[in-house]
This record gives sequence, structure tokens and C-alpha cells, in this order.
Amino acid sequence: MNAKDLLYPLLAALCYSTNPVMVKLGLRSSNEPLLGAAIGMTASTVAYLIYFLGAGRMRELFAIPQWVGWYFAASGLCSTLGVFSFFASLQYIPASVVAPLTAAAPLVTLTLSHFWLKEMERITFYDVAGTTLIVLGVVLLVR
Amino acid sequence: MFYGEALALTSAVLWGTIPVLVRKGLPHSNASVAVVLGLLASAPLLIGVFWLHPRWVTQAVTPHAAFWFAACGITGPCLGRLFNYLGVARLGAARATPLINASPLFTTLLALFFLREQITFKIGLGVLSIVTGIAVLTGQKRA
Repeated sequence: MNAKDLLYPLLAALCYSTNPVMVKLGLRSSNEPLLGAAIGMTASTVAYLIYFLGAGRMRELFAIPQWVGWYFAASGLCSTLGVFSFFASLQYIPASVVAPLTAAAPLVTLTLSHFWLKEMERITFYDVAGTTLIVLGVVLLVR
Repeated sequence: MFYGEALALTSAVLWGTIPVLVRKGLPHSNASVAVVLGLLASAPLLIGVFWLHPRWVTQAVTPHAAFWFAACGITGPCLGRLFNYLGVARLGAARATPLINASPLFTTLLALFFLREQITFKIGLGVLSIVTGIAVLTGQKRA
């Protein structure tokens, strides 16, 4: 793995890191977390569709095998349902408990990758050690 | 009894499944198509939220709050997700996901520099753990 490989994951992390601040600014003005999440998702759908159609990439949607489309659609549903269950959990327990529990997501990915992506990815000891250290670090920061 | 914990863990499982689903389909398509199909698949859920909410969105959310929620949508489910999937395509699900989930590191660093927050022992340990985890993950040769 080299520095270039880190670029996209760290750009994604940077984008996600601004979200708690923006959500807080929004909730300060209107305490509607579920509607807020729906507005955010709607804005992202509209913005990305404008880009995608504007770039003339519509054909790409129909060029993929059907099963791939279902996988991508399932990933979107997982994301949105994850957001809804996240907000629902906040109604029962404080954010300081919710955040460390949701930080375990990379451990789920690691486990599923081991069983489900056998032919594509080989999980090493370093993957397990690195992921565990990052999850522990995140738990310490968010708790 | 443990509804809150169960819901938070459900989020972790759902979010942890996403990179694996995307990784399965990416060799047959690209990250941009994965983002579009994921967002489109969530549209019915979003319509459901707006439809079932007891108040009209314009009555419940101020324009100021809507701006921040929308901005959060652009950086998170739009740009963040695109970089996330590009990272998964380049590094694989198991290695990209912990790096992406290290976003609290950036949030903490931003808070330290811009909000002049104090570095406690717990924060220091969390940052050290994440940085070490990233070093362990990135230090290995690609399998």
C-alpha cells in the first residue's frame, strides 16, 4: 500500500468528518433529525443525478449486469436504513453509547470480507490488527 | 430492554455490509454507478419519511437548518460515498473501510486546531491508536 492508495479513503474520511458539525448546526435551528437526514439524502440524490446526467453517463446504468445493480441498490438501502436505525437508537440511549457501537462497522466489514470476498481479498493479521486499533481509537475519541 | 444498543449495532452491521456489497459489484462497473443506484434505491424510503412525518417539511425545518442538512448530504452521501467507493475499488473493502471510519480523527484535529479544545489523555490515546492502526494497515504489502 502506498501514499496514493490512501488518498480516496482519507478524502472520504475528511468529507464524513464535517458531517457532525453540519448536523449540529442544522439541529440547532430545527430539532428534526429524521427529516434532516431525509433532506440531506434528497439533496445528495438530486446533486449526484445532475452531475451524472450532465456528464452523459446515463448509458453506464444499463451496461451493468442486473445482479450488480441489485448489489449497488442493496448497498444504498443498507446506508439509509443504517441512518434510520442510528437515529432511532438515539431515542433510547445517549449518543456517547451509540457512537462507539456504530464504530464497530469496520469489524463487520472485515468479518464479511473474510467469508464473502475470499476470491477477491485475502485478510491478513495486519488487517485485523490495524482495523482493531482504528476501531479502539475511534471508540476512545467518540465516547 | 436493549432496544437502543440493538438498533445501534444494527446500524453498524448495515454500514459494515455496504463495502462488501459494493466490492462484489465494482469489477463489473464503477464507483459512480454504485453511488447513483444506491441513492435511487433509497428514494422510496425518503418519500416515506416526508409522507409519514406529521408536519410538512417547510413547517418543521427552517431554511437555515435545511441548508446545513443539504450541505451534509452533499459532503456525506454524495462526495463522501464516491470517495469511499473509489477507495474500496483501489484497496479492497477490508482495508479501505477502517481508514474511512477514522473520520473522528479529523473531527478531533479540526476541533483541536480551530476550537482550541484541550487534549486529554483519552483523546491522545485515541489519536495514537488510530494513527498506529493506519500505519499497520498501510505498512503491509498489498495481498
